[in-house]
Amino acid sequence: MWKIFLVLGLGFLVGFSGQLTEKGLRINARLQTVWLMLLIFCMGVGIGRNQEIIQALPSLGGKAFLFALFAVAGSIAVVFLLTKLFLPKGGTK
Amino acid sequence: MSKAILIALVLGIGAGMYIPEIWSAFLDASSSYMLLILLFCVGIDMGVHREVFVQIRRMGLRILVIPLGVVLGSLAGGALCAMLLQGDVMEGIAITSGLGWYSLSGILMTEAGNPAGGAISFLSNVFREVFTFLLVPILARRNVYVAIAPAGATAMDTTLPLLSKYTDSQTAILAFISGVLCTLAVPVLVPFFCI
Repeated sequence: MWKIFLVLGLGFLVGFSGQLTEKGLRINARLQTVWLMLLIFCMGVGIGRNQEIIQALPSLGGKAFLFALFAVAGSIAVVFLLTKLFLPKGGTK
Repeated sequence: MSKAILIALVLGIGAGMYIPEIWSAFLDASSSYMLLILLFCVGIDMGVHREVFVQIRRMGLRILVIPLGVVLGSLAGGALCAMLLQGDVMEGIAITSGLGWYSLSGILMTEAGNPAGGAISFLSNVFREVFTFLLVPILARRNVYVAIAPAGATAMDTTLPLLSKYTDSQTAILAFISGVLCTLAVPVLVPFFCI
């Protein structure tokens, strides 16, 4: 966990220093998109090579899928309600 | 964009199943380093848009409604799902209180004496992370706060780059805070509902 704080903090300092040009920031954004896709691919590899997941899938997959669906739907609903009530309009992107 | 994510994910899962073990082990291990590089880039974005910290400070303790909503919604979802399946409600809540942290939540349930529930919890929280990858780009278009909701505990690491890309710096910081608090909540919540 400390590694996450460390790299976020380092990146923050680089951004905060104002040394990056407009062009550098554009490259940063484009790099992030490519890295993100690579990361998701690699995380997929992690799931695919995990025998525990693949073997449990046929028997427990349906139940696990439903629980995940309900957890996500519940989170979305409650966060929607609470942020509508308490936070300034975050709006959309 | 969700489509590209789905394709990358499916290709990855397929590759993980069929390419030689040496390669898949390498790719699997490299993902944690890639994540750190990405988080460095996310940090840069946060540093550049430092004005958002002022806005977040203005929100004060109200920012806690996001992690609170994530936890309450997840627990309620678990209870509802267990009722629907006519199973043990407490077990259902224990499963969804993993908040997407699959490597820990399954182990916690197994250690608490419920290995069958642990297996479901592990798989279910893997699914939650997958759902998050697919839902964030869609949700972010409508409401950036809501886009944080599916991520749960993963908002502080694996899904933070995604949230940063599809929302804005302010939301990314709110997501990170929410992810940290959810991460702290998992080791407390799961054993609590395993009684």
